[in-house]
Amino acid sequence: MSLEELRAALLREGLRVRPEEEEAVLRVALFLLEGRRRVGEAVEGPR
Amino acid sequence: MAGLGLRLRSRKATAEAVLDAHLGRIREADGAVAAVWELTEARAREAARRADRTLAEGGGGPLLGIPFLVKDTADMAGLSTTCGSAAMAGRVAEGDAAVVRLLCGAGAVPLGKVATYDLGTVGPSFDLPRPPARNPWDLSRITGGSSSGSAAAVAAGFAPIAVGSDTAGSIRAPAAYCGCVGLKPTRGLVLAEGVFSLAPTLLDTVGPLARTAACAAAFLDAVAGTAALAEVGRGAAGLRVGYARGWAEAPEAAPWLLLVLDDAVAALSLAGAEVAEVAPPDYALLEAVGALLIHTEGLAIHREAMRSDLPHGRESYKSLAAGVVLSPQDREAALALAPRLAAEVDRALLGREALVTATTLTPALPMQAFREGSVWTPMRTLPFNVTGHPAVSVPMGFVGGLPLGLQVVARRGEDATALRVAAAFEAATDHALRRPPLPGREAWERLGAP
Repeated sequence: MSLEELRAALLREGLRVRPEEEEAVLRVALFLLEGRRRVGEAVEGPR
Repeated sequence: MAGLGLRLRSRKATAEAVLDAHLGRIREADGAVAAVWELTEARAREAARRADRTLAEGGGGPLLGIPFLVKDTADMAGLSTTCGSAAMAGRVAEGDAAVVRLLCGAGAVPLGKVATYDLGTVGPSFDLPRPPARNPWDLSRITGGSSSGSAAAVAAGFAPIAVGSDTAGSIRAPAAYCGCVGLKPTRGLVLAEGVFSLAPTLLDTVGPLARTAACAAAFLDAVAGTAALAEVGRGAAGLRVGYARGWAEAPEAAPWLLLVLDDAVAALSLAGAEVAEVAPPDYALLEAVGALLIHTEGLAIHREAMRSDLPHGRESYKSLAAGVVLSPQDREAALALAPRLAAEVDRALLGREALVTATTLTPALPMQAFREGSVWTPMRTLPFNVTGHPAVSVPMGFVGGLPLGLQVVARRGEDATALRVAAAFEAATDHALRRPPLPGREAWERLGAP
C-alpha cells in the first residue's frame, strides 16, 4: 500500500489524519495488511 | 493482602484505619506517580465503616475492608468514565460496572478511579487531559498499558488490588513493567457489563492487578464465584509445566531476557514443578488474528466519534485510523481462525497444567522515547486474548532495578491453576517482596512535570 492509497482510504472513511501523522498510520496499516496475508494463508492456504 | 485481611479479621486493625493508611500513601506518593484520577473518599469511608461493623459482628471474607481502585474504563456510579479521552469528558455513570458492584458486595472499599491509556488503546500520550502515569520503579519510564494507573497504583502501595481490563495485554504488560501481579481471566469468566469495549467479540477481558497472586485469587473469587484462593497455597509440587522459550527468542527481546527467564523457570523447577520445553504455536499468526480483530472492531466502535471535531488524542486516533485498510471479511477470517489456534494452545497444554513464557520482551521503556514518536513495545500477551485461556503475569526478576514478568497460562476455566503456579513462584523467590524506591517531593520536583 502506498501513502496515496492510504490517504484515499482515510478520505472515504471521513477520518482526518494530519500530514505529519501519515507515516505512523501507514506503518500500522502495513503491519495489519501483513497480518491479513498471514490469516488468509492460514485459512485458505498460500496464495 | 493476606496479612492485611488477617489483621482486620483479628481486630488488630480497623477497615477505617486501613483506608486512612492507603489515602495517606496516595497523598504521599501520587504527586510523583500520577496514577490516581479521582478519589471517592466519602463512599470509601462509608464502606470501611460498614466493614468494621461486620467485622465487629464476627463476619468477614477475604476482601472485607480491603481498598481497591478502578481503571477509568469501568463505571463507578456518579463519576465520569472518560477512558482518558477529552472526547469522552462528562459521561457520568449512573451505576457501577458489574465488577465494581461485586467487589463492593464482598466488602471491598472503593477508593476511586485510576489512569488508563487513551480509550484503552495505545500510549503513553501527552496530549490528553491528564499526564500519563509513571512507573514507580523509575519515574522516567512508562507503566505500560492500557491499565497504566491500576498497575502503577498497586506497585506504589495505593491499594492491594485494582480493576483492569485486557484486550491485548493491557493487564499483564503493565503488571510486568510495574512489578505486580496481573490476571487476564478465562474469556467470559468476569462480567464486562459497565466496562468500555474495544474488541468485544473475543478479546476484551476484565480482571485484577494485585500485589500478590493470592490478592488476585481473592478478587476472582469475589467477582466470578471461583475458589481460587483455596488453590494458591498448594505449591508447585507435581505440576507439569511447559516452557514456551521459543516465544522469547526474538530479535527485539532484551539481550539478557532469556537469562532471567531461564532462572525463573529453574526456580519453578526447584519448587517441585516438572518443567519441559514445548514448541509454542505460531506467535505471528496469533498476533495477526488479534490485530485484525482490534482494528476492525475498535474502528467500528469509534468511527463516528473520529469523524467529528471532538478533541481526540492523536496516538489512539492514528492507531485506530489504520484500521481503514481492513474490511468486515478480514474480521470474519480472523474469527474463523481463532478456534483452530485455541485448539493448538489446548494441545500444548495436553498432559500439562500450565505453560510459562515471558510477558514482555523488554522492561519498561523510557517515557522520552514516546515523546519523540510512536514506539513498539514487544509483548507476548495477545495470543491468549485470541484463544481465551487464562494468563497471569507475576514478577520474575529485576534488571537494572526494573521488573520483568513471567506469564503463566492454564487451561480455559482453570484460572486457579495459573494463580497457583504464580503463587508457588512468588514463594520460591523474593521478587514479590521488593518495593519501588519512590522518591519524595524534592526528587519529583527535580524530574519536572510529566
